Amino acid sequence: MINFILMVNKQGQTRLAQYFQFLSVKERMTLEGELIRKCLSRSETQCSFLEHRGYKIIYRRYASLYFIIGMDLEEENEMAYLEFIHNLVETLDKYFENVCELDIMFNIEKAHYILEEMVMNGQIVETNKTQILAPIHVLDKAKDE
Amino acid sequence: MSTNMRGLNTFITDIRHCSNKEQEEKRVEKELQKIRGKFTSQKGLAGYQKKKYVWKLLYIYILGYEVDFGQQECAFLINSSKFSEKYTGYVATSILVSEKTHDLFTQVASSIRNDLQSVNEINQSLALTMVGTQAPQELVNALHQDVQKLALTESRSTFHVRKKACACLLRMYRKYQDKFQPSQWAQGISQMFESRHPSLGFMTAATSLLVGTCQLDNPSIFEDCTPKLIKLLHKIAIQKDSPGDYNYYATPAPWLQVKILKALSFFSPPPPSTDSHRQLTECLTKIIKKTEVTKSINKNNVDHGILFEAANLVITYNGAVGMELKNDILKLLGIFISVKEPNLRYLGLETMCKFVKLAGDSLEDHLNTIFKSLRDNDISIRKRALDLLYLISSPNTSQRIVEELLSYAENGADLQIKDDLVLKIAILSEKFADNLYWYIDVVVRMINSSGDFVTEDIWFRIIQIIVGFQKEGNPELQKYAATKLYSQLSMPHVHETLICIGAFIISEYSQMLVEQNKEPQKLFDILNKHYTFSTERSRQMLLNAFIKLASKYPELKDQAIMICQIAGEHFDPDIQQRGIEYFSLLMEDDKLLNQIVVKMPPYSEQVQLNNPLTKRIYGMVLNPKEQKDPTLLNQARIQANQEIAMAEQRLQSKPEQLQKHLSWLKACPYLNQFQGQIALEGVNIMVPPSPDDNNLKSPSISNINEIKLLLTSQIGKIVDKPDDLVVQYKSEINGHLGKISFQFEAKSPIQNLSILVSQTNGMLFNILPVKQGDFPQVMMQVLSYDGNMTLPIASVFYEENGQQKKREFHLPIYTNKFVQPVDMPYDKFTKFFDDFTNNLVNPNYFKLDTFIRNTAPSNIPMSEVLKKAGGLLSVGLNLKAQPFPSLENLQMIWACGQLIIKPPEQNNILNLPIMVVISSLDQTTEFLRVGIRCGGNGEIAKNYLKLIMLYLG
Repeated sequence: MINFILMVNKQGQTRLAQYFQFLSVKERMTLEGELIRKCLSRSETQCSFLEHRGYKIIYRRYASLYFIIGMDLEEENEMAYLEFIHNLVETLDKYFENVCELDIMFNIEKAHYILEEMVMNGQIVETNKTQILAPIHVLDKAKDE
Repeated sequence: MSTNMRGLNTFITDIRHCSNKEQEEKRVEKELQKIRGKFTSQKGLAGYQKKKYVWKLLYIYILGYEVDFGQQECAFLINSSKFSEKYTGYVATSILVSEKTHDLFTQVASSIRNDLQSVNEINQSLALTMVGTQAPQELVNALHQDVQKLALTESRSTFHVRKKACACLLRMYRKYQDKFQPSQWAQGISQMFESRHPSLGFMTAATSLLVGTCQLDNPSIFEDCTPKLIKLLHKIAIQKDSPGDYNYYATPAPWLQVKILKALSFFSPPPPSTDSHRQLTECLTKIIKKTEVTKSINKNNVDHGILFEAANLVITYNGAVGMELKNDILKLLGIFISVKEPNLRYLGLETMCKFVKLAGDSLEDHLNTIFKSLRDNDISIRKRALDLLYLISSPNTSQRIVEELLSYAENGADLQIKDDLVLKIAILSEKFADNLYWYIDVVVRMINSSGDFVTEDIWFRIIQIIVGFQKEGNPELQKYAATKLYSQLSMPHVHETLICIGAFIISEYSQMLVEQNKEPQKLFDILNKHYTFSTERSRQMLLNAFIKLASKYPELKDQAIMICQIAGEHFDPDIQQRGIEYFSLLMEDDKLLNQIVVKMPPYSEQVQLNNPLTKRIYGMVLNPKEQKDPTLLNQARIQANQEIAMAEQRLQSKPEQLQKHLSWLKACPYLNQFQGQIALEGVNIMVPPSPDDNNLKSPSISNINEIKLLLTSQIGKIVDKPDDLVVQYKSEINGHLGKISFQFEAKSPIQNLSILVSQTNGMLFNILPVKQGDFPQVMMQVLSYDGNMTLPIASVFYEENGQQKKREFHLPIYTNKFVQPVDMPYDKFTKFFDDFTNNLVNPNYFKLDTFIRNTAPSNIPMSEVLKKAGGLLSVGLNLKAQPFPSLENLQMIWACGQLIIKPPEQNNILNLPIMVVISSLDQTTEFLRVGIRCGGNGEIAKNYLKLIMLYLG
């Protein structure tokens, strides 16, 4: 299963974090700090997979923002999860129209909602962008009226 | 979604403008103070305000600050009727509230249930998401049936809700397996795949639930899903009959395809010449043969994801479906590991690891490419390459592979990989050493290049192999090793580990070197040259070497004596002890020396089979959340499980004795009285020691009477022979550490007294220098590290009236000395006791049940016998013993304590529970029931029974 999904910028500031197990603040900060340092130290010519503290780490960089997924080691198919990150980014893009770090910062509750529609309890539950965004569109409309 | 919260935006902007961490901390501190004030003030807050503050708290928490208040406000927002507030409540509760905050969850459980049962699918979804994020116990208890119903039964709920219910159910099941019976889900899950126009999102969640359940439970109960899964896969991958908006860069529902292939790997392959077999072959063939590389990297990624999963399935099925695709897969993998794209290289190597068994030798064609990957600039890829080389080693390739690994270790390997590299070289060189000279050359080169990574278990193993197992080792090998190490150690700077091995081998097989015209003096000098600059560890080995050489070549004796004499004053207690002991040995006549310094006997077969190195490889894999090695995982797990099962069998070495004991227990007429309280099934049932095994009662212990007194006290005489030797004894044991002091007294003054302690299982002794005098005194420190203790033996050597004398006696140091009483209410005690009794699998729970003969004269009432037992348990055996049901109407004594040990190489001290009950029987006064439960090690229970028998028997 997926243990966590993080969006961290190059300065190491976490913009969104969803953990599917409880870690203390200290554990989280250490983990996130270590991960971003590891990701930053890797170049384009290196692969997108790492092992760290018993997690299989899959990461992808978009401008200054790193999307990081931590999986169980037993979980296979890194490629599918690597591309799942892209699907997540495209979905955010579709909703925010050209998403950037600031959109996620200032609309953290919406970004969170979208993420929860796609991944629940460590499992991928939806990959269809229309389906993912349907509820949030309904809610946005409800507010407008 | 109504979320425009100005205060929140301002706060985020403020944080963004902070130029350094201090400013940020200040701003956050200020905000926290403000929110705390708002939450604690008497004035009620409007829902909007609460929502705003809770989001701020969430934001602060994600930034990495501790938020230790506001949990209640979060949880109560769930009750709100406004969506945005309810949503905030759910999100915040799932993130901010620790699952240990039990009360809070109990308080909101009913409003969550209302949401689950409502018709509003958005509220249902929110509730499911929150419950599944942490799955706190209270909510699982309260809601698991609702969730199960939502997920499994086709009711009025939508696919949207059902997919979330599936995810939530899986999460609950993973966390609390004993609450669920997946066999009851079989039908429901199977039906999920029958719907004619399924929502693919729901199918994804359903397949995840299936995969997750199969990982934890017996997959065969879901076996009839196979044809349905294949049909669904066929529909998506071949017929392209799926809604267009599930296409991702023109690939239909890639994540679902991956999940289905994964799920299939849990079930047996579809039988040949069925529709399913044909359909699956068609899918696999298409995926493996027709996947093309396109311009879109995104399409390539998902397509390759599916391709790797299909390859995995062919591997798992071991060729039962798609055997003809084997060569295609091999060809593809060969391409992948040599392309530029690093992700494909990584996955190619990883998949090859799994492919080893099926592919046989054909992977050898790719050796050169894999060697190149071993020197890739990416550590992730290097690790996979190392794994793969380890796995494909065969008698044909091993020498080439080991050579490559060695040259990599000598030249280029970095710290992150060296540990693993050295371990793998050590295992491979042993496993494939058809030529033992080669083995020696390899390990010497390995130590020279990576000595710092050669751990003790590795070099111990090297020595064991040279010494040989079971029968006398190979003299050619020993000669070669000795010569090789001799020439290595002739060099001025040598790695410490090589000195240790060299010291052992050169001194052990010195004869073979002398036969080659090497002077004994030269051997001595070569070793001695390294002595001054060595660490303590190698000095200890060198001291051993010196005394061995001196015992064989008398001309070296004087030099050895000198070194030992100086070592006797060394600050390191181990070197000091060796120095003093070897010095006195060397001063003795040669007869004694030659009796003690003898040739190393070969190691037992047991040692050969229990290679700690292979265990370490598996250990690496099995320890959760430590360094794990995913590609070796499945193979290693199977092997390790087999080995562990074998080891367990060996441990319980006498199954027939256990059977005998169990059938004796089952036949006991008194068993009825204790229905369910006596362990008759499961692992770790201990057999009581037989009378001749009970070494505490053995007549061979000369000071048995004194021991019996002293095992329950701290001070007294261990040996009391006024005509001969009197040993006064005092001990002080606290936790796992103790201090023992002795004073010796004989009729005439004692001189040159020394003392050795042996048979010290489970304990470490440190003997401080003897204070000589007319009444010599000795102090020892003792530490417990294992529950498997024996009664130690002290040997004393001394001179009286110019006569050499030796006395041996037992020391009253035993398991009970390291035990401390534990106070516990009766109901808790019985709960623990019963947990131990009825748990069939927990390897940490040990149980010993028996009936012992009541040896008290028949006129003594049972209550008195039990009182005596209670006194023994509490005063002597350091437990907290209490009567049941009361002292007046005594039927049972129950007692509880903990054994304190500090295992070597661990920093923490362990407290192992120990519980004892002694009760009378309804039917007879001839016997007593004794039940013992303990953690850590079954020997603890046995030892306690021995003690009880010693005093009551």
